[in-house]
This record gives sequence, structure tokens and C-alpha cells, in this order.
Amino acid sequence: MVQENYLRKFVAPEFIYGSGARLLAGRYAKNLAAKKVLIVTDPEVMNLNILVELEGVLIEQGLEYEIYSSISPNSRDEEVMNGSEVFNSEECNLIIALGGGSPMDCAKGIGIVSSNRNHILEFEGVDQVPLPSPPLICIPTTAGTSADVSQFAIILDSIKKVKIAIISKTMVPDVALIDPFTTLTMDKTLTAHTGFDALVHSFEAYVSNASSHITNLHALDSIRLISSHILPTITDLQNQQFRSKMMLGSLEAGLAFSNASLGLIHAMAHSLGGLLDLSHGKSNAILMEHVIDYNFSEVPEKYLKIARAMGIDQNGLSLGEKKDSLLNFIKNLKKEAGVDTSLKKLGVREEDFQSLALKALQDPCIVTNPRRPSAEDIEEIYQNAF
Amino acid sequence: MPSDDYQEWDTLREKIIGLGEHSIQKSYYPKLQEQLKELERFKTLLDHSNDAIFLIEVVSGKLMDLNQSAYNQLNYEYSDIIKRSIWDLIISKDHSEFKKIFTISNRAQDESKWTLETQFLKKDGSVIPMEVSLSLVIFSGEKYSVMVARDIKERLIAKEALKKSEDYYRAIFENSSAGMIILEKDTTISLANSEVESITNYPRREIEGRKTIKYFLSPDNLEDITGIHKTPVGESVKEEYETDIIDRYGNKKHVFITLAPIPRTDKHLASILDITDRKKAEEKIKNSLKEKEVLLQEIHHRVKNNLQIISSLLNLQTSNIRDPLDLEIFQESQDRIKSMALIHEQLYRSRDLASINFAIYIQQIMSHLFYSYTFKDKNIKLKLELEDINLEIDTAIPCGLIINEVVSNCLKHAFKGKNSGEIKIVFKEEKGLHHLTISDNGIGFPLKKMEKSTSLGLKLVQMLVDQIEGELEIDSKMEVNNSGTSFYIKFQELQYKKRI
Ligand SMILES: [Fe+2]
Repeated sequence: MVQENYLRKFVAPEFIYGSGARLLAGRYAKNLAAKKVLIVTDPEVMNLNILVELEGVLIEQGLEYEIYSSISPNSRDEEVMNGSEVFNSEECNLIIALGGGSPMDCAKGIGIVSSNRNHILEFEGVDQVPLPSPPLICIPTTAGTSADVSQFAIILDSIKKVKIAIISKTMVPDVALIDPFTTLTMDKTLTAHTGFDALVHSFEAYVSNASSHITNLHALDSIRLISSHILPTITDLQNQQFRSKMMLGSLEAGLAFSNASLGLIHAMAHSLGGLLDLSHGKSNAILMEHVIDYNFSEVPEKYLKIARAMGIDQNGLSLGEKKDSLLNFIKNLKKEAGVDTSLKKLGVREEDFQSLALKALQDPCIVTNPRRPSAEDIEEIYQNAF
Repeated sequence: MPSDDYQEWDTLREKIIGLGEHSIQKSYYPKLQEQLKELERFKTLLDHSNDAIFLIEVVSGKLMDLNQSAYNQLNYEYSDIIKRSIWDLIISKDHSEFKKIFTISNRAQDESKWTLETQFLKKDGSVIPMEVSLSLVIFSGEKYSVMVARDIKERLIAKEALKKSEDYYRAIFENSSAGMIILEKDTTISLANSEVESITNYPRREIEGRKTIKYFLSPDNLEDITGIHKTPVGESVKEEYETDIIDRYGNKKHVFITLAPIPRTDKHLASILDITDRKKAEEKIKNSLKEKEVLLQEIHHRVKNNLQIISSLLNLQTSNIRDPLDLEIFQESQDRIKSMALIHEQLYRSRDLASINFAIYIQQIMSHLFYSYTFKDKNIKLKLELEDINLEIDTAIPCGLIINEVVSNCLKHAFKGKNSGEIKIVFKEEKGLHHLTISDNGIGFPLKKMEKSTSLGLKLVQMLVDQIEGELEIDSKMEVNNSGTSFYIKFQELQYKKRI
């Protein structure tokens, strides 16, 4: 594909990166003409000091607020609709999302439901949202999902048991306050899962057939940052230096995939997430090297650049050996990070593969995968990850 | 969503990148502009409303917003009136009413509305009567009142005019000397005036809305009036009835009812005139007239009888008379009396006791005369051409006598030396005049002799013609060819002066 001939676009929210960024929430809310703020967060965050801090800065600006935290780890359609009900009945006019991917996706959903007065599932797909949501400020507390800078929201259709993707520039937040300090509370597992999610974002954005020079810069730099800092962070959770690097890596991954989109790993992971309530990052991690194995032949030079960014020495190796060294590196990284499990261990059954594959084919992420797979191809990849 | 079609995947990829039709970096500006435009349109709409619309902050009573119509009607500039206290704009005696509503606690969703009539104060201090519709709303936690006021000056004037007109018609209705009632479709009496009270002897409160017209009608003529509502609504047919009603104490009252539909309603207006007393008087007069008629009849009868007695007396006396001339005088007198008696006889048999059918009379008097003057050797024919004409007694008696005189004279003298002859009587009316012609084909007689005649008969005829102010023409052909005589009398039935 001669990608240089295609039009490319780059959209990013206003974002502030750095320690203390979270404390600017009050000022931004005020500047965006907030009267009453809906804070969307999850039960975990409810116990954390960062919520108290946020309330403090809002009160400081004389702003009223309401907290909505009835959100499960994978945000569900009815949670979005309930949140929107709270937003309307409390006459809120601005949303602050505080937390990981789930509260941020939910906040995006609440926003578009409130402004468009439509059910959340009506917006499924790409460019299906007519009106932008009310002003949305995101304060991510994990370094992975990058929902704070992306045009993506993933919501679980609780009846069809499928994760739907809503992709629209109207959902890009107004402001992202990216503060590594907020990630200090993540434990080992969550740090590993979100780290791998971010890493997969960069991988897929880089090899995406919608990638551009700008997204590539961010993707490669993100791969370099994450692959070199993920293991040190896991072993030293309170190290602010490491956390900052991870956060920066995640931000760059977000900027890359929000504009270049993703690929087969996410398509297949979303499909899995609809079937079982799995951690998104872990699903990605399991599928990672199997999809790379499948894609490699389509864009070998890109994968070789990724290998270089990860610091793998491939001098003197044949192409096949180079591929194997990349796959082995990833396998090893997973093992070290403690995410080297299999689909079987997670409770996936072989007889699910066919429907999982069909669902994956329906996911919008799949269209930017460098190699176009058939249903059988996907089934085989699931089999490999079994 | 993705399918097997590569083309579709390409399109979807374009959109994901952000090159879709609606894909623009999040911007509120287009929506904001649209809403501003909508607000602008709405403001224009409000400004052009005839109603004055005010938004008042309840706590302070301050006017936070108002439409153009509002400040125009109060003769203010917008900048002069905005933030003013509403209490400066409403006459003070009504403030408490408004404050009462302002203090009602309400919820955001409450849609209660209150309506008040008050007077607004213009800038120059003059007042406008307005009807105000009030509701309470909450914006951003602050309580406001939305007041929509409408100028009701015209309405009040119309109301006043209507009231005047109502008072006027009510006075007419109330003070009519006839009983007046308004009947509903089902004949219930919905309104009655004081005269109705005195006719029925019921107080109004026991009638209005409680009784139907049927209640008062005597059962005998219930049918008459209950048909009124069969008349289609809108047809302005006035109907009149003379009927009886029964009052509270069971007294029967004779009334005259006029019923007329009230236009554009299904109600009727009825006026009831109590004619019981008038009816009684009428009855009395009728009775007294009847008495007089009987009396008159009796008189005619007696006059006729008396005349007959005189005639009989004369008849009795004739037996003592030997002189044929004297006998003739007696005979003549008897005929004259008979002609008068016949009139009285006919009169007392007539319907009106004042006039008689003169054609019938002529036939009767002729049959009498031809009977009196029977001629064994002569064949005299009578030919009558009579129109049906009635004559009153004052004309009938002289006329009867005239005919009697002329015909008996004719029978005695006209056919001397003749075996047959004809007498013809024509009585007709032409151009308002009566024409009586008595002619014969007898021998005739000398006119000059007649002028000097001293005979009672002809003198009498002349006298009687004068009495009825008629004209007499006598024509006799004696000198020429003995071809008979004719008497022609032209007269008019005169209006005689009333005699006491
Ligand atoms: Fe992801």
C-alpha cells in the first residue's frame, strides 16, 4: 500500500501532561462554563484520595457536582443510560471522567446520549454521532486505555453480549489532564494489563494501513518507552520516574491509535470481551504474538522497525529468524510481566471460536489491520492462543 | 460494519481516520449558533405577541426580562423598565394578591397557573386594566414568576355595555304588565317576572327552574301549547293561544299567551295576559245583547200582531159598510197595514232584527195582493226580476207601502176592459243605487190628471218617495197607444239619524 497518497488527519484534545495536571480540573471546568459537574468514576476510585482532591478543586471554584460511580470494569449500556439520567435530572452541564478506560468510555457515552437524546446503542459504528457531547474533561488513572485522548468508546451491549465500538471525533474529550501521580495506586496486575494494552495500541497503530508519519512517530516512541519501562515499573510500583514514562508511552500510543486506528488484536479482544468479562489488557496480551505472526508477512519492514524500537538485536538474522526473535521477545516480556496465560486457562472453549471469529470480523478495528483475514484465519489464531 | 467487500472496508477506514462527512474536531460553535438563532426567533415571536410578558424574580420582585409589547404598552423604554420592581407597575391595592401567589412553594415541574385581574401603571401614572396569567418557574435554583398580561379595556367596556343592555331588557321584562316567562327547550320555566307571581300565586323561586309550563295548564288544553317546541329552532314563528291555567289555589284563569322563539337559542319567550276579567265583561255584554234581541223580536212580533188586529178590526167593520167606495177605502187600508205587518213579521224572523231580504218581501206582498184582487174574468201575470237586496226597516216600510200602493192601483185600474195583462217588478242595485221599476201593459192613464190627482194612493206614493229621498218617474203611454204605465224609483238606502 502506498500510504503517502492517502489523506491523513490528526486530531487530539487539548491535553496537559505532568505531575499536578489533575489539579487543574477546577480551572478548566470553570473556563468551560460549568455550573454543575457530573463526576464519572468507578467504585475503586471512590476510595482514593484523588477523588477528594478533585472535589476540593471544584469547590474551590464554587462549582456544584454530582458523582456517578455505578460502573463495572467493562462499562455497560445501561450504566451509560443511568448516568445520562443523572446528568439530566441533576441539571449538570459538564462531565469530568476520573479513572481508567471504563469510566472514561462511560463518560463519553453519557455525554452523547445527553446531547443527542438517543439510546447509546444507536451510535454504534463510525461517525454516527450528530451532536458533540457536553464539555468533557478526562483525568486518566491508568496508563493504558488512552480513552482520554481517543475518539473511541467501547461499551458492552448487555443483551447481545458483545462489546460495541463507537468511533467519532465528537467524542474526543475537550481536555485531558494526564498526571502520572494518579497511576501510583495501580497494583502489579493492573499495571501489567494496562501496560500491555498501551503496547498493543502502539503496535497496531504502527502497522495500521491508516497510519501516517505523525502517528508513526508517536507509535514507535511509545513502543520504546513502554517496552523498556514496563518491567521496571511492575517491580517498583511507587517509582514516579517509571510511572511517568509509562504514562507518556500510553499518551503517545493513544495519539497514534486514535488517528491511525487499531487492528486484528483489538478486534479479536473485543470479541472475547463480549463473551467473557475479561480484562481488556490481558486479552490483548494473550493474542498479541499470534496476530503478529499472522500479520508479519504483510508489513515485515514495519515489524522490524518495531523490533529495533524494542531494542532487539537482529543483526545478521534472516527475515524468518528476525520474526522469531520479535515473537520470542514478546513472549518473554509477557512471561516476565506475568500475563503469559492462554485462552483455555481463561475459560474460553474451542466451540466458541467460530462465533468469536464472526464477531471479530464485524469489529471496525479490523479494517485497518495490515492483512485482511478470513473467518478461518481468525479461528486459527484463536486456536493458536488456546 | 465490515463485510467481505473491500470497497466497504476502504470507506470505513476513511471514516475512522476522520474523513467522514460529519467528522470534524469537536466543536460547539455550529450548535451554539443554531440555538442562538432559535432564541432570536423566539424573542421576535415574543416581542410581536400582543400580550405583555414579564419575567420577575420572586425574591426581589425585580423585572428580569419582558417583551417589547410589555414595555410599549406601559410606555417605557426597555432600559427604563428593566430591573424595576414589579410593585411600581401594579396598583398597590392588588399587591397582596400577587404576593400570596409568589409565596406558594412550587416544584420545578409544577405547571399551576393563576389568573388575576389588575391594573398596570403606565409611565405617566395612568392605568390599564389587564388580565394576568401567572406561573412560577425555577431557573438555576432561583424562583421566578412568568406573567402574561392582556389588555382588557375593550372587554370591560363591552362587558359594561352588555350589563347596561341586560339591565334595560330586564327592566322591560320585569315591569311588563303581562306575565313574562322564558321557556327552556323542555318547557321548564327558567325565568319569570313579578306578574307571573300574581297570575299563578307562586313565588318566583318556586317556579324558576322548577316547573314547566305544563304544570300550570289546565288538562283540557294541554295539547294546545305543548306543541310549541315542535317548531324548528330558528323559525321565528309567533304563536298565540287563548287557554286556561290553574293557579296555586286551583283557581282557573283565562289567559292569552303569546309565544315567540328567542333567536339563536332553543328557548322561547312567552307573555301571559290574564284576561279572566275581560272575558267576564264580554260575557256580560253578550248576555245583555241577547236579552235585547229577544226583546226586539218580541216587539216586532207584537207590532205585527197589533197590525193584524187592526186589520181584523177593519175587516169586521166592513160588514157594516154598504158603499162600495167606502169598502174600497177599507180594503186599501187593510192592504197598507198588511204590507207593514209583513215587514215586521219578516223582521222578527230575521237573524239581525234590523233588515229584511226585500226580494222575499216583494214575493210575499205580491201573493197577498193578487189574492185580494182576484179577477175571475182576467188573467193577470206577475213577472219579477229581483236581486237579493236587504233593506233596513226605515227604508223597507216606505218601499213596501209604495209597492203596495202602485200594484193595487194597477190591479184596480190598469186592465179595465182587458182580459189579460202583465205586471212586472224589477228591483236591482246599480252603481250604489237601488232601482225599483213597476210596470204594466195596461191601458195607462193621463199624466196631467195624475199631477192634479187628489187620490190618497198617488199622494202617498209621492210622499213615501220623498221620505226615502228617492226620485220618482212615471211614464204612461195612454195618449199614444194605451200601452201601459211604468213607475221608476231610484233611491239610496240612507243612513238615518239615530233615533232616541
Ligand atoms: Fe485497548
